[in-house]
Amino acid sequence: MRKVNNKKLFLTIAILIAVSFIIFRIPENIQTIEKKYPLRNYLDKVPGFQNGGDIPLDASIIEELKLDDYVFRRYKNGETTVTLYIGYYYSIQKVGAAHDPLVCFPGQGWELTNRQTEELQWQTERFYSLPYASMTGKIGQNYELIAYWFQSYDQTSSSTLSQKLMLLKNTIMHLGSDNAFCRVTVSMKNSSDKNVVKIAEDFIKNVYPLFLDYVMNGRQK
Amino acid sequence: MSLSIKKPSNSGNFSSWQIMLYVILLASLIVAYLPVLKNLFSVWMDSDEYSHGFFIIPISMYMVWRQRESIGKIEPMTSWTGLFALFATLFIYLLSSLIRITTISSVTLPLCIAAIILFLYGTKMLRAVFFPVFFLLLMIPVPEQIYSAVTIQLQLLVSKLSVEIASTGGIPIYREGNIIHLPNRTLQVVQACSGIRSLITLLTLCLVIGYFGFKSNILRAVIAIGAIPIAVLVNIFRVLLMIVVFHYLQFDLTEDPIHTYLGLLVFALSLGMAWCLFKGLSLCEK
Repeated sequence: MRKVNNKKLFLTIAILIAVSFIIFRIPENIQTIEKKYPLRNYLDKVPGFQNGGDIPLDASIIEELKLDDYVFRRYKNGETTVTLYIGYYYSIQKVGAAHDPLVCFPGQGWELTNRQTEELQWQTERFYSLPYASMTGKIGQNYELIAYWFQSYDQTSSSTLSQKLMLLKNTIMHLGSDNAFCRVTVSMKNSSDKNVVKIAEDFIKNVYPLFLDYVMNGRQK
Repeated sequence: MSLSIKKPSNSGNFSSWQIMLYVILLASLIVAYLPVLKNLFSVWMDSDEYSHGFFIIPISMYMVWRQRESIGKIEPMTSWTGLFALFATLFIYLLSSLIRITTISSVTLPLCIAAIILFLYGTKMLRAVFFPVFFLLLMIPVPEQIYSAVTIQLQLLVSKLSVEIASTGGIPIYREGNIIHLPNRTLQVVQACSGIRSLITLLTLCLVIGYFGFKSNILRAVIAIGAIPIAVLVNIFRVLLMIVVFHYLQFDLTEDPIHTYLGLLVFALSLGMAWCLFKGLSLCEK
């Protein structure tokens, strides 16, 4: 092989050493926060829904998902059961720990149809806008409406890629880097049960302000 | 009259100082990409689908080594595009590492190598080693969303076609998604039985066979693409065999270790089919 100008070699080596320096310093500069209250206590009461009890998560699952905090609970509205799962992470380092349901549900035997992305908007004391993804899941003869979103501090998105880009922006601007995966499932009588959409949306409208308050205020450094 | 031949100033033996610079270059690349390499190593160790990853770098290096004489004649040319590409690649690497998009971080490794080659040696050299460098992309796991989407489709395709063939052959059978119902048995074509593992491995092997076996890029592409129907067909055959053997002999091929041996046998069959395809395409090259 012919020899290359030594200056170019030096320059390339210098660039790579600079990158090495930055890459190994990244974990040191990641903001980590500690929450005051367990998330499940914060979401104990959701207006319009009764607390139907926690669903325990195995320690191995908590470890597999690298959860910093979580809530996995049933809420009841008349005869309809709404299940809420939130996997909460304190820092950007764990942003890849939660999996998109499109990845893990089929592996568990679910058949997924009617996938769409929506944006829920409503006004109470303030204006809320929540983009989320929804789909119908079928396992055996059971149907469920599955609605989910990815939380990046005070913003939501319907995909992991958008979540990561938002967190990148937050990290660069020294905003909050805590993040979560939020999933609401509602059992359906059949594959075309439309009432569940309204129940899911009502639940989200009531639980999200509480959750957002937790994200924004329930923290100390 | 005497003839003198002027040697190019950059030919001849490398000094120990220059060899040291190349070693430092390699070391600094490895250190810069250490988090990526550690993650890849961990995936190759733990995953059945990507255990072939251990062989990708040595094969790539062998591909380059085979071309050493022709590569040795290429005159280095500075390409500032290469320097720009190097900065761009490393910037993307840092950003993707910050937000933990491991696929993008990993993909920047072969791109970084290509950029370094372009910067130090120019476009002729990059063209010469294009395939060995981009062959390195095969050591990187496919993103989960894509992997899952492909696997689901394969599961359904394999289930559908094996049931249709069995039904045509007179076996009482029906299918719900990837669940196959026989009179006395229910089978499920799960992710592990979708054929995705053999598809990934066979695709890699066909690329290697094509690269070393053919001069024509078209034939190389054909054998690589041919890996896909071969992998799907042998998996359909495997599921069909399980259905037929259970129905007529009441013998369950889904139980281990028979299931594992059957998998190996079927993979050997796919290798045989790939070899036949190679031999057939070789006739075209002659």
